[in-house]
Amino acid sequence: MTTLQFVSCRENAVQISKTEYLNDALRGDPDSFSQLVESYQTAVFNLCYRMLGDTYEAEDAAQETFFRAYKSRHHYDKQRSFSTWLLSIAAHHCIDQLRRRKMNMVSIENLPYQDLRDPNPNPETTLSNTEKQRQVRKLLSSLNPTDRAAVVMYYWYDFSYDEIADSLRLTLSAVKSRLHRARKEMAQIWMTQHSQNNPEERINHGSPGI
Amino acid sequence: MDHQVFEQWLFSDEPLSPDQSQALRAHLEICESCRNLSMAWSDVRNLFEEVPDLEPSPGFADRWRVYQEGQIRHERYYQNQRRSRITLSITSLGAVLFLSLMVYQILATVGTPMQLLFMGIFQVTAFISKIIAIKDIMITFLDIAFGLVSPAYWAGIAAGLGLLSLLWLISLRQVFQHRRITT
Repeated sequence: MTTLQFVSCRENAVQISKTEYLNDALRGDPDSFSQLVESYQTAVFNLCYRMLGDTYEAEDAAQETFFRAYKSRHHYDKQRSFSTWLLSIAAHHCIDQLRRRKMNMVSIENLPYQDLRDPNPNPETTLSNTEKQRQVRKLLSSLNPTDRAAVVMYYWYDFSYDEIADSLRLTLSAVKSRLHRARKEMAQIWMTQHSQNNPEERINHGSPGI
Repeated sequence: MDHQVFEQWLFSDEPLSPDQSQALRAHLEICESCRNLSMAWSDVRNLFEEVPDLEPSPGFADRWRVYQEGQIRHERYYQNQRRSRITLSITSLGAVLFLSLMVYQILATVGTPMQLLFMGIFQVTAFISKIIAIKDIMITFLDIAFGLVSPAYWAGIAAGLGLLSLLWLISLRQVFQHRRITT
């Protein structure tokens, strides 16, 4: 057996066991559902973090997402990807949280900034990553909740326009226009923040269409 | 060409045709605002690609199990509360309906308030005389019973009944008190 065949067999085996425990979890087996939580915790936590910008809130939102998924497991359509379904629950919950937060007049910028856990032991890399997280947080916080969800799904989870439209209950054209508006808004914010930087260094970058 | 078109192309993910691409490049050469926007957007995209994923703190799945149990307990509690409220509402509504019907029936049978008063007095006196009759029967029964059965036997019955009542109360407490789920 060649290495490639072995890898393919292993991937198939992993896929089969994943499908098996997904089926068991959907039947209500708590241990299988816990395994699903183990498998998808990072994805769900990251989506919640990108949406809410706060690790404690992201943890709570991720827990609630799994609980909602557990409760509504009977409504899950097996034709759909489980991760898409799960992440769309997370996105909706975070949108609700952001709207509630807006009603309570708490801005994401007013939240205390936490020291994020970084697996990298190098202090310089950690510092740079923390700075990047802060910048991303600032950019995303300028968007409205639905636009933010669309951006997060598109750039971090490789959702297609159709999947975003399906998950956020929007039309395809609405998704396109929301993403367009969000990109422009983020670029403008970046421009105002970094107007003092030397533009010559970045002249080679341009539109993805070119 | 309209400035808006170039902006549209800048923030679009659709691939541009060679002509469009060339037109955009030419426009970026002369339009500083679009050039700055293009560079800014490029930086933002790079940032999105570079920013690392975060891991939830260890023990997330364990915390989820505890959270799930707590939520299920809460939901059961609220379901029970809702059920009790619904039952109480239905019985109260039934009682109000029954009382209204009774009042309506009484008012329909009795013509004047004076008649109603006399009828009420008659019913109360009839009830009191029934109670007195029952009391007489009970006293006669107890007199006979005390004559037939020894006082020690009565004491035993009283103690047994007391013990049974105590057991009954303890069982009720066990049934209705909140159960603690240990993890």
